[in-house]
Amino acid sequence: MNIIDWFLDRFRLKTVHRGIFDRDIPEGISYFYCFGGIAFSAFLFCFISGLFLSLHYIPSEKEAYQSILRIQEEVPLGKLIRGIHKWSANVLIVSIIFHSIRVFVTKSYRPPRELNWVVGVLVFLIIMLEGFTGYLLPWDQKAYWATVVGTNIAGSIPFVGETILLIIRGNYEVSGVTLSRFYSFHVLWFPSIIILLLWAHFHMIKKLGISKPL
Amino acid sequence: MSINKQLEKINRRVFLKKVIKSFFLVISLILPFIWLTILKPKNPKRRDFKFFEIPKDKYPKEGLKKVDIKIDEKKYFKIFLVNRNDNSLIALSPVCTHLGCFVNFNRYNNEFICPCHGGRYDIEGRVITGPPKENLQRLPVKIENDKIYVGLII
Ligand code: HEM
Ligand code: FES
Repeated sequence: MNIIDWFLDRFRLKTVHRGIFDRDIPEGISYFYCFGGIAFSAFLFCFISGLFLSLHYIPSEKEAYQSILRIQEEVPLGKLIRGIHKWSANVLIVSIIFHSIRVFVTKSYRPPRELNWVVGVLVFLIIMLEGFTGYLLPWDQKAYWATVVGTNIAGSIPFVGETILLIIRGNYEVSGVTLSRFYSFHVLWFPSIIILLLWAHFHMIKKLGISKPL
Repeated sequence: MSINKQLEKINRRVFLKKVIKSFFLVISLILPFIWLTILKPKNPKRRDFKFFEIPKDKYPKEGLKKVDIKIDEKKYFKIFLVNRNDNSLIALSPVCTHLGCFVNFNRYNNEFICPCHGGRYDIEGRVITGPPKENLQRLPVKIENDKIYVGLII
């Protein structure tokens, strides 16, 4: 027994491991069925490049912008990692949209897969929020005013608008408090929720299989 | 085992299940509350105006002038200074009162136009049309020792 087999056996991972490659796929599937996988890959790219960025980024009013400049100019590979984070985020959103179109066109949202559609929509919403919170982090003029305008939209809800605005911003204006909570959302809360949701998404796909093409 | 003892065992199991279930129910009800109370600031403060000097060469002789106010080495903030016909000066914030985009001044028809949803204001910042309901904010101006200062919330 070599070390890999030993590991897979002791981890009781063998069945799962085999499962992924032996699973039945219906006939007539096209490349459009790849967009879910592409989205997942893009998410992994985002996640890993984000882990590296968080090593050098400082989420404080005074230092955020400076630390971004440092990542861009001084940190080895910093520019590359930042680029990967930005571009994989874009690819992620585009491929989620294509993926949803594929699911819609092939009518794969029909029972028994309707719950997976709902989970998919939740993932999409949270990915959008990831984009929104991430955009503030460079803490430059564009970031600041984009967040002012974006949060003002929530603030324009009648009656509860001001309370919601306070809950989002942590202050009347977008300030250092906003920056630290957006950082927390961006790197801890939302990714954790996304991982939970993706687990649910994949669990259902595993149990229900890919729907037969029309 | 007597039948009574078995029943007791089952009851205990049912009871334990209920306890565990309600435990998780309570936790999941409490969490959103904690979340909201932690996020909502207790006594939020509105920031005060800080005053910045406007260099002499930036005064508009007539009409309107866009002025970049230096906040620190790297930060500038754009405001509009308007010299009204009666020779009084007002300072307008460029922040649209609808959702907060920066408005631009259009010299052809002498009005401010917001790029986001097309809000329009006249040269003194009063709403003409569009989604904004309030006029552009007038920034406090003060004159000390022959110098003009404008207050910004930064
Ligand atoms: C991070 C975002 C997402 C990832 C990584 C992801 C990943 C995947 C993957 C790998 C599959 C397997 C089939 C395929 O590749 O097409 C799949 C299936 C599915 N996805 Fe997603 N997805 C995401 C977002 C969404 C969204 C936004 C929706 C709906 C609006 C959605 C709804 C579905 C449904 C209903 C299926 C089952 C399709 C079938 O069985 O034919 N997903 N997803
Ligand atoms: S933000 Fe200016 S019109 Fe909406």
